[in-house]
Amino acid sequence: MSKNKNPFTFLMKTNFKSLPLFIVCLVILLIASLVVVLRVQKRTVQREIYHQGIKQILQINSAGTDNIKNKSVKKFFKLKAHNKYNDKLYNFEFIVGFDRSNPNQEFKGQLQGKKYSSLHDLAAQALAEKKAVMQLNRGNPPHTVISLPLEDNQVGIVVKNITTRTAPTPWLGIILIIMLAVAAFFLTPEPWKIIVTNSIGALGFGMLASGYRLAPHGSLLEILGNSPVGFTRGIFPPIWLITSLFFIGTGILYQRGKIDKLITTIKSNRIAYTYVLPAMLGMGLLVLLPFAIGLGLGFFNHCNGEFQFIGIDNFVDILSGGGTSLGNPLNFYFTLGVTLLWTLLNVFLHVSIGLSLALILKDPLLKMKSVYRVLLIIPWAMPNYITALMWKGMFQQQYGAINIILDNIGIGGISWFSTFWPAFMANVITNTWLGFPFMMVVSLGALQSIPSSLYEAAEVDGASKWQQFRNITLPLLRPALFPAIVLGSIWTFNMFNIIYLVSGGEPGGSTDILITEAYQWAFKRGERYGLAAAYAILIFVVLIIYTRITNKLTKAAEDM
Amino acid sequence: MKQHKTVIIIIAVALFLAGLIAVQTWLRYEATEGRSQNIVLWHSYIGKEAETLKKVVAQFNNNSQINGGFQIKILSVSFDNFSDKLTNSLPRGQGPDIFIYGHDRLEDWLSKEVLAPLDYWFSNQELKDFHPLKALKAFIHNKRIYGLPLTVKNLALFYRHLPDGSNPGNEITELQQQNHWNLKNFQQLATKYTRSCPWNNSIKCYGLGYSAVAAYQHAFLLHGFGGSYIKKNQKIDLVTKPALKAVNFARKLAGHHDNAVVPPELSYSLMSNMFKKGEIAMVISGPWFMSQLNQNDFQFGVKPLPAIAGKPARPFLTVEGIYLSSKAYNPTASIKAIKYLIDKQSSLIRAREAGQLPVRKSVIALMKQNCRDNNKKCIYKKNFFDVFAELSQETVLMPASQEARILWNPYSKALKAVIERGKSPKAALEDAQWEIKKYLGACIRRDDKQ
Repeated sequence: MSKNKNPFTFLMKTNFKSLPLFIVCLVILLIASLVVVLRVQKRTVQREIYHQGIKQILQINSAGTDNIKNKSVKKFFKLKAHNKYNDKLYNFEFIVGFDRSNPNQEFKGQLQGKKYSSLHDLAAQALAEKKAVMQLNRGNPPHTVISLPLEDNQVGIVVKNITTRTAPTPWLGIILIIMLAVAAFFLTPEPWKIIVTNSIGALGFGMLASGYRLAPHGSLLEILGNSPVGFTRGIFPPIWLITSLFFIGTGILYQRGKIDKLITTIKSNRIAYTYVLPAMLGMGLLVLLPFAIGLGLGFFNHCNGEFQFIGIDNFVDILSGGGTSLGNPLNFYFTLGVTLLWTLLNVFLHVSIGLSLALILKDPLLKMKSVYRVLLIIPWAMPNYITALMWKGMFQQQYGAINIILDNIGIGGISWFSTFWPAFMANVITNTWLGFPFMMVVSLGALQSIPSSLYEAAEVDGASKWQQFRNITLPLLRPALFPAIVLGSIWTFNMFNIIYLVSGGEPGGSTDILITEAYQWAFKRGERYGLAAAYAILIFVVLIIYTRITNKLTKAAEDM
Repeated sequence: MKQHKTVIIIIAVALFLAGLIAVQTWLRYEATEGRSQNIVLWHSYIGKEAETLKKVVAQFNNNSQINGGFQIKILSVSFDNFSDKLTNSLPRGQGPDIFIYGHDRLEDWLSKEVLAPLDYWFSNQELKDFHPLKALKAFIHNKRIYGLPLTVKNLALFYRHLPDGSNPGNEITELQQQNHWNLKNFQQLATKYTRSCPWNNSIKCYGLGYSAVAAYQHAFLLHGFGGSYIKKNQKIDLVTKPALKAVNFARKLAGHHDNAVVPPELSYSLMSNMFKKGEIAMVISGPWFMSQLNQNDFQFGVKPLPAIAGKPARPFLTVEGIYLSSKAYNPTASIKAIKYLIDKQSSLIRAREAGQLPVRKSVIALMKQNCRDNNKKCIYKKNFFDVFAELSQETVLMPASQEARILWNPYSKALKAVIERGKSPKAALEDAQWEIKKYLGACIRRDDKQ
């Protein structure tokens, strides 16, 4: 009793449970803050060196190399550009050269040899871009080269040691946030501790980092406007977003007791978790990490190798139809409609053909069953891209086998890929050819597990073949067929190969499904990786909804 | 006991991680060691061009005086994936030191900082040896050169002696002599040869083979009628009078109508097969088409494309060049390799054995000299270099901008809509214009914000 009167011991005892999680979140908060701070510091230093370099070049240019006082300047060169190859290219010669480490060295004539190639490159870049250019060199000691275009086709180049001091780290701000978080942690009752602490941490981190980023600029308008340090620029928005999501997510999970449960489960099944750890690591690295990156990419815009955070713009663009009419193949809803129709039709054909063939193959009077079985599995056994290319050849208008057959029976050839329905059907025919053997094999296996005594009893009772099929075969097939249908429809929903290789989205992209549309945006339409990733996320969402519905249906069927 | 197990698990995990780090370090060491004396060259050549490149490289590798102890290692990369592989691997230090590709991705690669400039290493005299001028111009950006031409490629008209003894080449020569080799007569000639094949009435023969729905092939018509895909200020205006005229004419040549002189849904392989069998009399293609043909099987020739509105037709010119990677492991040795691959001797081998049109004045002069001395060895004429070289003067350098790269797909889609589905040219080109604007959206958005 007396021990509980000591407030520190009391606090430690009551908060011990969530303390490790709190420390983990605190460390993450500290790392995220330091990443942003260090980056801002690096940028500030670079900017300062850049301006110093320009100033020094201009000073030396007007005062001459004899009076270079600043010891940070290691070398200085003034070059003059002469045009070569009919004025289309630069050629440089030394006007002045100074090297502090070797004051007697002479710099005369044209730049030649390996030694001066980087000087040439920097001078040419400054002249071409008509602005100062800076190159950081990680030598020992680290130095920077800055070149500045001067009057009369001349360029000044300064090589200087990095002497600029970095901007002070906002330790006070960081400590204040940590103290606030610690106070919130001890003052908030369980199970709200983590969510309150983390929300304060995320908010504080956001305020601190954005304030620090803007400190050298000083204007509030810059935060909201289009300045290079605005809220949507650089790595700050994604880091802040990810950290905040993690913090709040952890808080919610903790509040609901999920984290406690997880820890208890891990503790009680330590050996089992050790066994599955390699698989979990593999899944994490090969599945979850790419998935998370894809998810994040959906919030970015890509142009010429640069990514810019744009929030949910990509999703808005896709879900609003992107300014296209509903009948335009570039409209998301058109593609979604085509994808659903494609999936439904294919799965229907796969199941009906597969099941029919399985029923035929099950007939005890049928001879050479094994031969038929092998023949019918061949389409499935062949790599699907080879089959797709073969079918594409067969759909060729003039020399394709299908049109030759149609011609011979008097129907006449069809231009398969000129209009929507023939092109769509060409895809469906190819995919049906590829897909029915799977359903046939599944059905055949399930059919063989139905005891023949049930049919015999039904026959004794006078049931017709149709009644036997409806009341015995179908209900007993359901447990095997239902998962196969779910699996088949997910495969078909994302069946990239057939669409890409057979119709190629023709005519005019109208037979593209969501997955090929995502591919088109990523690799054929100006490398819009962000938009493609957003498409992929939407595909994921559609499939999650579908799986949830089918799970419920399966459960309902099991309960029946 | 429990503690003992935990210690074992921790040690096992630590050993596993240490092993992974060791393997990675060793692989890294191997890779850098391997690269210290090697120059990695990527290309997407196939057939004769790939074989000849191997031969030229073998000569470099075997001559220690030239290579200075460095060896070129060749890696063949598929054409379609070349650019993606390059831009993905170079920043990770796994790409090539030098590579061969067309000039049309130049601006894209520059924006991704994949290329290193070359002009510093080449004298004025060396640069002035390149011909035609636009071949080198294709690699110049901001007064720097980022690639050196190996060969140029442009479209021309191939014709052949047909199995029934007729030869459209004679008629073209006649029309050329009378100065009547124009679009109208070209269409008439193609129509004349579009008939039931005289040697097998059940098969339909066609006068012309070309990919009418491809924007690259369509360019000669567009430029001929006075249009262009991209304006000088890089703006795209597709719905113009010349563009409409060109699309209308393409629609007359190809499509699902009785007067079409081009077979429907023509692929490159189908076109070459039909040409070899004599089922197509004339083909519009580039020098690469010659690798499919053999003068011993049937006689064929190359002629210029017909004049349009009184001026020569102007197809695109693609320049194939060699580039230095900005991440080259040893730039000086790589420059040596580049110098060797573009030099006179290698150019001669490439021209003779791979049929690559030479782009150096000294090589062209030498080849022409050989023709005068011994006509039988006149590769310059045998490979139709004289025709292609003359035609290359009247070409339009294929644009290499970001806009151009995005343009081809929507434009080809518009051509397809008109030719195969009978859509109105104006509506189809308007759709393409809208689509391009949308595709460029990512970059426009960024520029606007800045």
